[in-house]
Amino acid sequence: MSTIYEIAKKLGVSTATVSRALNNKGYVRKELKQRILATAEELGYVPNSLAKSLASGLTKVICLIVPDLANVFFALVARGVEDIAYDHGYSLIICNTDGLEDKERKYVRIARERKADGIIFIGSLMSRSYLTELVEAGIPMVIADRYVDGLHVDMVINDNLKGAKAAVNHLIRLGHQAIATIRGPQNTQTAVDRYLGYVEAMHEHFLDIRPEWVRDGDYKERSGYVQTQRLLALKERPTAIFAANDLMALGALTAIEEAGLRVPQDLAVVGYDDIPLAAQVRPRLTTVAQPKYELGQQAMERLIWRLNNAEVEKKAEIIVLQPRLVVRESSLAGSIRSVQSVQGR
Amino acid sequence: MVRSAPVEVHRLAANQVTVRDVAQKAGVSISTVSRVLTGSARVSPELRQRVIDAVEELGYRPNALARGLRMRRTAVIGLLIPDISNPFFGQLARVVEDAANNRGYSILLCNSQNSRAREVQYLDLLRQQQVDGVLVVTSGAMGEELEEFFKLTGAAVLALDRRIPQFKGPWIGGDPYPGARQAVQHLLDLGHRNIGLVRGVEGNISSDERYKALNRALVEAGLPEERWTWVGEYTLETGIAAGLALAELPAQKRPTAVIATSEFSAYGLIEGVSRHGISVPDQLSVVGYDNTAFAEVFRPALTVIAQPIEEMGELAVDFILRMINNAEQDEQLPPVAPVAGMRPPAAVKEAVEDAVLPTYLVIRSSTAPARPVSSS
Repeated sequence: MSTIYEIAKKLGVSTATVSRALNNKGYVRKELKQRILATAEELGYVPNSLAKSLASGLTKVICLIVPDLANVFFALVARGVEDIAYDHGYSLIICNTDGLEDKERKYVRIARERKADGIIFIGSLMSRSYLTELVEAGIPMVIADRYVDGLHVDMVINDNLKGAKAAVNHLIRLGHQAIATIRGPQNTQTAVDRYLGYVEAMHEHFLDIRPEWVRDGDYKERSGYVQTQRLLALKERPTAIFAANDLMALGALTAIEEAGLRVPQDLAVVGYDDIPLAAQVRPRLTTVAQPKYELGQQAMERLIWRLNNAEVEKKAEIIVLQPRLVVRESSLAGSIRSVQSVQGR
Repeated sequence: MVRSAPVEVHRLAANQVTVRDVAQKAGVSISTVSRVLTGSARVSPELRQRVIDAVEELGYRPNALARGLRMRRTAVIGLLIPDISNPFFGQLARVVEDAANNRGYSILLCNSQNSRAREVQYLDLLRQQQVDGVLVVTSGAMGEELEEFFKLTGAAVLALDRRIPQFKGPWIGGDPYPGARQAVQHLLDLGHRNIGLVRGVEGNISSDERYKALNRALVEAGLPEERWTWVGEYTLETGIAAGLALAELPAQKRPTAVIATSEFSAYGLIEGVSRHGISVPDQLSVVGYDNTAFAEVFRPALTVIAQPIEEMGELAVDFILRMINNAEQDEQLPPVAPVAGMRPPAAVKEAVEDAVLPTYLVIRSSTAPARPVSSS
């Protein structure tokens, strides 16, 4: 591995000049700078991050704080973050919080102790006070997936309300009126927004929301199963279920099948997330696809932009990514082929 | 098994830049270099800059073998895996991070996407970040690169899940045989005699091991080996292709059960056969491999040869911390003569042995009694 010394020697210039050219700091003649860069590439120069971080005070480390990387949604977000980080020479430290505030606090503390250059944060709804502290401490941060009110930080989020509305509107267009929902935990913004999307769609079509049609799940398959059994036991059974995520929708499918009913003829089911395998289960699951990989990419790109433009006084931005309804067999009876053409795959 | 310690370290250490060289170049004492590198005490900006310049010019990278001063530990462990969005690795990463965090360590995530170039690039990044250790699941090769990484950095290196040829360090992974035997027995109990396999690529040690274990189990059960074998990456696509191929066989010549050596090829298999109207488990029993969270929620829920993901991850962290701590104790020994001071890192290598964890069968809904062929 070559050093700036070798580059300097080869070109007959001082190491200080090479350093200025490589680090884009101070004046170097344009023509010389190009020669230095070309030689650096030719010699396979890799910047020594120890020297760099000692000089700049930067560690080239980013902390990614997420609820749970075993959850494939967050794993895909992490992939997006990591690919961009890799392209820019950043290292990614991962932190799983289970969405618990004390773990979030702990990891934020670790990020500060490690002098991470920045944080990408996917947290729970209620955790705000220490985020304000972070912002005030001037630690570059991007909040992903969750909108946190009243915080002047860049955020990259999915439009959950819009996605949920599209899912319920789809059911309404198919002629359903008695539509139940299995909500996610109402202390998370995503679950609240998906519930609001359901409510808005129903209200806009003057459809009745019976209290017993609103069931509380925890985003896990089992809760979808149990809550669907309760819905099936109702005297006025709904004809469709909008589950706030795919895992609960899969639980719903199992409960309906066990009750000897057919999907979608007796009951239509729509989920949310478009997890891998949503297109492989039987019946194939209609769901709302939200950008996951792209969410991570955009969050990391935004963070790098902040890091490189620390001196620019630019207002925090909220980047909203768009969901997409994916219609499959669990809402629309028909052959596999015709459903596939609807999704365009 | 305990690995023997390499001894060719002397030669390598000779042309390596040491902290002594940095001190000489910068015209300062070794202790000043040490203070700058560890950030432990006040150093004038001018001296500090000189040290930094010297570090950069000489291409100095702290080295556990050659360094005369003990660098501060970073308490960071690199986790080099193919792809975190594969649920097996996602779960593994989760377990590893939890276990590391409980012991004050952070995990640096590196997805190689099975690209050797990216693996090599990541090793360099890990070296620059001065990680204390690396847990590696590689695409297969990389043994030599890992040995070199180990020599250059003195960091602890442990292979996880997949064995790596030419890598002499310890390995932790699953033993496919116990699960394979249980799976074959389970299928026999259900009346299956015609069992096919969807295996991973040939030439990959772990993939070959899974295949051999299954063949051994089949032969021990008195069944012929290799009557239906489909080969490919551990992906949905491999399974779909196998499923389509299976469906095209005449009904009498099809297996009634198939064991796939990855979870996603099992899902793909179910998808592939269902495109031809063959339903699982009524007309075909399917056993997968891994046991991620998906196996439970898939429809039909997947019978799998389960990898002990949690145990594997926890043990890996436990092992690598032992390796790191052993290396540290080693460094704290009284100094020895300069030449003999380049001791081979015997303690690091001998701190732990390979660990092989048994796989086991988890029975769910994708396996059912064999139906007589005539009725299909």
